[in-house]
Amino acid sequence: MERYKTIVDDWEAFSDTIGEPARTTVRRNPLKAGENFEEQLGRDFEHERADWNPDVYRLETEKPGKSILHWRGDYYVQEESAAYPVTVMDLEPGHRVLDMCAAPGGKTTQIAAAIGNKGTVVANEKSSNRIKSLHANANRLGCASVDITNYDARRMPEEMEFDRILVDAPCSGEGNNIRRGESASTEEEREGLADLQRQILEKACSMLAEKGVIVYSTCTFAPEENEEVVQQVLGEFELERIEPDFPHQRGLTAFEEKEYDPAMEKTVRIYPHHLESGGMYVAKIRRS
Amino acid sequence: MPRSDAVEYFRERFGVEVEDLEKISGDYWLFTGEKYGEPESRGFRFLRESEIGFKPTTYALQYLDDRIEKNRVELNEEEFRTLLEGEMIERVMDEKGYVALVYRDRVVGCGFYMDELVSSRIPKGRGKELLELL
Repeated sequence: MERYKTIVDDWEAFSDTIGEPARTTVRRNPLKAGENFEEQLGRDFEHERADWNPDVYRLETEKPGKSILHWRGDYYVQEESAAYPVTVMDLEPGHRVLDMCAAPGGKTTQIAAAIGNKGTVVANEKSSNRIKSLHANANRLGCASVDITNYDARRMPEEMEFDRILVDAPCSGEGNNIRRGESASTEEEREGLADLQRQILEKACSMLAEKGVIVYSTCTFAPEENEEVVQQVLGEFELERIEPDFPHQRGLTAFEEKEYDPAMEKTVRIYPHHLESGGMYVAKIRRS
Repeated sequence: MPRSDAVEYFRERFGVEVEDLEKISGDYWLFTGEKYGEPESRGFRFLRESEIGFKPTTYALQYLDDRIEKNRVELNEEEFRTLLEGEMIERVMDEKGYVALVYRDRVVGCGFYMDELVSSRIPKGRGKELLELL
């Protein structure tokens, strides 16, 4: 991960996260959880609520999936940083929403909850293995608004325009791999993935309604898969500044020999030490 | 049977109004959205239909939860465990049919009442997972 030494805000804190497990967090599912959710959660786990998102709870356990509440679908086990991208989608009941790379369904179920199951959520997953977990989670969490499809995201039918599109792109996953002590991705990996990410984002642009919003996210640090991918749609599209209520770093305007559009500063990088969680990159895109 | 019969079943049996049911391959699914492309699934399975009548799914009863006004069976831990182990518990209710099993104030799944006995209709695999959590 040394290649990121020059861009990380606090290298010592960043380095200290290597080998440390992420904090255990769960997201309350309002589609099923009752009014006394917090009291019921307290029967099984010591917990505290995240101050930036009232649905996110930090638990004192290594086995957050071992409870009846989880079995029933009252919450979803999700890294704290992974709960962020959906919160910037400005979701409202009635929206048509597309989640292009949806498995295992953490963000899909969060979207269905945010629109209160009133509207349409198309949850697409290319992998026929991973789609099983998407089905299981959508069922468990009571997602009545979710259509599950099995297309290659780059070749989805353009028969519907969407008010909101989430491109939680396949990526090199450095934000999670760092905790397993793995090194940064290789140039070859990054190039292949960046090409795929570009194609998926272009497809999203072609399916977006006039006043729609695309949120692009990855769980990797590599600028080649983040700022460089987002930069290519600027012109016809523009970035909206996002501002998390927790420690974070702005998107990059330069890395190594490359310079990026100054607008990249409107995007956000979340490093593992910011939330004791996984890494995440998030950009919010609108038509110009 | 037409959709209105399914709606009527929930109204009569559980005292709850259900909308957005759609019949797909013989079963009723709860789907509130619009159809896109060729989906693998739309919403989730809510009600099965067979020659002997309707059977609500465990997911359906969990989703309806505290909106269910009739045919609720409140369980203590021992009773819940008994049901999940495949045994029956005693109750006196009005009418034979499916019931909502309730544990710690939450509907946990589907059961069946007949001849003053209640049994579990929570799918076996899911029930086994649950038993390990009690």
